[in-house]
Amino acid sequence: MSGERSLTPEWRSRLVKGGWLTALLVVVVLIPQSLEPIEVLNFVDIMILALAALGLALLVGFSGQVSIGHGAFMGIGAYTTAILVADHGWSWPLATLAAVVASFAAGAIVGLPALRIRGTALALATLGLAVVFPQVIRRYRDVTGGSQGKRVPTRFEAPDWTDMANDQWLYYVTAALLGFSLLLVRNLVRSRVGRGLVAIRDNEVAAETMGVRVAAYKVLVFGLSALFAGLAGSVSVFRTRFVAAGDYDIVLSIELLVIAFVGGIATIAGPVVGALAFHEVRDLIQDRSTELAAVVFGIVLILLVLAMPDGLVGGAKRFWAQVRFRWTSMRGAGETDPAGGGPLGPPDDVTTDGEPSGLSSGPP
Amino acid sequence: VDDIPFFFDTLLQGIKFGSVYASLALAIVIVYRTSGLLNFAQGEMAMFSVFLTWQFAAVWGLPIGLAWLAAIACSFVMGAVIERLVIRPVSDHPAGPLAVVIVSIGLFLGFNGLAGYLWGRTGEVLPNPFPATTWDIGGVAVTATIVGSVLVLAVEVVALWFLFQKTKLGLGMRAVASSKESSRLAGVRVGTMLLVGWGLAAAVGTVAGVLQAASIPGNAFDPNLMVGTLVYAFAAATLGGFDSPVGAVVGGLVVGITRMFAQQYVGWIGSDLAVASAFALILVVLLVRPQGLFGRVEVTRV
Repeated sequence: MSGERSLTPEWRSRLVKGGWLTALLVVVVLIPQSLEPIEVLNFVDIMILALAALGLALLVGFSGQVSIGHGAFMGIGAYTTAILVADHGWSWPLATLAAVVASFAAGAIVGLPALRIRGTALALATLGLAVVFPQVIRRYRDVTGGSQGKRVPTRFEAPDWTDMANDQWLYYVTAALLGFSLLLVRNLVRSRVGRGLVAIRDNEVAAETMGVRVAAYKVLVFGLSALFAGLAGSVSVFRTRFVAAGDYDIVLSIELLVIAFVGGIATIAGPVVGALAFHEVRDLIQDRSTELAAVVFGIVLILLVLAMPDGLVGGAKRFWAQVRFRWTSMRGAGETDPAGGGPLGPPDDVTTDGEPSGLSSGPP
Repeated sequence: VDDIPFFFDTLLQGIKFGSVYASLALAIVIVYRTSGLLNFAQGEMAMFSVFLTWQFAAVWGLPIGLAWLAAIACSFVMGAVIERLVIRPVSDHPAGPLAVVIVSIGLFLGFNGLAGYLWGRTGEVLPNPFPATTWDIGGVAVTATIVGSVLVLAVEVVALWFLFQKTKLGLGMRAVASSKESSRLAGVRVGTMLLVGWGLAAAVGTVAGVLQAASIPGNAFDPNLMVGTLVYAFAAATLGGFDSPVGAVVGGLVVGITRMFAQQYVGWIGSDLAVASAFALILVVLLVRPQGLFGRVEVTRV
């Protein structure tokens, strides 16, 4: 009725979102211009963790299954890259491509048991993978370097035309890969495949009856999930140019789970927020004791499941929806929340629009 | 390497480790039977109990047998407290068993870190609960540790059988395992049964942990003592069927013997890839016969 109304609530929220995204993009672009190299590399580490956790969030959010072995997929990506670059003279991008293919294939194979039974079978298989992977590396130590580790002599250098320092170039490459992956997952979620996956998670039998190709989709989502972890592992070699068997043990896999759950598997932003929070908190506690950090993260994981199953991002969303609901009901009664959120309604990331929801609303 | 004493030596080593895996698999099966859940922290809880045993024996000077019993008692309480404190609140979580898996992974990380924080990562030496005697039978060395491990497993199995089949408590636990709702209607205290189930599993895990530390030459152990063992035990429970105690024992022995033969007779596996035999077993059983050898087939009602 009034002029303000010509802008529909949907468009208004899109504009706000666009504004925030632009601001975020500016910050992301400016970080390497204004920070010390060591801090820039810290952000690279955070983005690598976010990339790996993104794969995990995709898996938990979509298939309702959990992997305790994503550290191993990260390792597969890292070792593929390191061996190809160091011993076979491949270029970095080609080696990354091979790493991505290798981790996807490994993920699809380990995901096969998930076809037979639901529930915790996949967790079991991936637990085995997490324990076996470092042993495989140790067994073939003449190729992998074993526990001593393997160094990659080739530097990851910025091309001349960029006129950038190596750390800045690494930062932008990592940011671009992460951004592209986030976009890919976001679009996948909203596609036909994404809806099929949600249908499988919520009721497998019903989905199959409706013509969703359950087997293919399940293997696909596990392969994709492993692919992102493998990509993260590959990028981590750009950064450290070093791989060692002990770096890819079960603790890394569990830390990735912590990151995915801290951020929240319900949203695309979750892994990024989770990685940032995890990295900062770990740095904070690690000065005192590495062991204490593990205890804290163990407790945090348990408390999250108990109290805030949708993680920091989900929790913030609910909080925000509540604030908005209060605000609108103060201004005038009867006006409902445009996003359908609010304290009584479901948060706006539940299954209806095809987004992952994971722990916040699993199969009944 | 194809002489007969070597064969029997490998077999005996397999049986020794098999007893450990059978023990830990029993703990996993007890939890699964009472609550339908997999406790991924079972191995780490057992590792923590080994440190408790060490604390009682080596630091506070209790005889090792007594220290072991004290640690079993403490672990029972620990398991029960964990069930009440963190497992029960999530057992009716909308995400179902996944929530408990995540919680048990949190426990895994927490116990591993706590042991490292309290006792360090450099490792300790557990006083051997078995005498250092070795009998020579036709060129095969039979150590007291091997005989002791098998005896302890046998005692454990008989005690559990007695508990489950001959006592009212065991009857209640079996009732809860078959149907929570029906048992509640029949007046069984479901909560207490779950509490006892988790406590019992932690106690049985303590047995497995100390046996594992005793099986390693030199009895040295550190916070990573049970990480590999957990995979073997899961392989045992998968092979036997998660709801079958008999399956856990048979599975444990099969996995232990398979491990030792793969390690000693297949050159490219060796000690590095021995744990891969358990991983392969898990994958194959899940693909071919998900219910295991002795388990019941789960029927989904549509």
